[in-house]
Amino acid sequence: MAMAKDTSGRRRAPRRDGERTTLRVPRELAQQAQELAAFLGTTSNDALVLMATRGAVSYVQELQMARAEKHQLAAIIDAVGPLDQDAEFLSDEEAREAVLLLRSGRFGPVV
Amino acid sequence: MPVAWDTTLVSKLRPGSRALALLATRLRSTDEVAIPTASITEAVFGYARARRDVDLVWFSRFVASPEIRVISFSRAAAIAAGHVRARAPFPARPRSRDRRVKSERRVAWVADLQIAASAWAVGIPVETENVADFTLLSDLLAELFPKALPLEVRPSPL
Repeated sequence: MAMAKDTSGRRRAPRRDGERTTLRVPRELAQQAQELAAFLGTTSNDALVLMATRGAVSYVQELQMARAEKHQLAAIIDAVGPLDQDAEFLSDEEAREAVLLLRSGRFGPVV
Repeated sequence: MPVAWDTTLVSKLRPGSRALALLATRLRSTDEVAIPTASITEAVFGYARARRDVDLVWFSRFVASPEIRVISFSRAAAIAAGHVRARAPFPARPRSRDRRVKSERRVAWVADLQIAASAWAVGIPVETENVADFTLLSDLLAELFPKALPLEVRPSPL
């Protein structure tokens, strides 16, 4: 006669919808999932899904911010306009003075 | 997208605080809190000058944690901030409730400018108790860089 399995002390994960899959998980990641699972009182599989979900949020955000920064840099370049090849640059001394103006504090409001 | 907290909110990040609890609930969420490097400098400066090691140590360890998202004063932020500072080198007239002296308001203006530019550069909103100044900075950025994504300014959630 088959013995009934005692599952009273077993960790249970919340029921999830989605596709079932089999993965080969790197040892270090599996270890992290086990640690998180022990901390949260859930299964390693559930912890792995949680880590993947959070990782995906971070990844998408990083991607969006990188795209935004590219867009903002293009907007800056657009606003400063093209370089006038015929215009004269400041002298070396004038350029140095201009670059150090902020730290000198010797400037007034724009009129 | 993450949301940047300015220094008015970063100053409320203390052990056991409501600000810390809110930041924790938003970790790795769609509205995760991001702390600008300029605010970190302000906070560390303040705690170091207060000569109370425990606050300085706690805050330093807190922001050093990889769990905490930090936004840098990037190249786009630096260029934009230079343009804005040239257009508006000094803060607007103080509001009647503002008790700070002129030099304090000027330093705060530069820090706020760096925070606003850092958030603007990566297209994320700013949450602040100082909506008026950040709205002004947002308007200046929009005026200077009309094709850029606008800086959204939100009132403090605390």
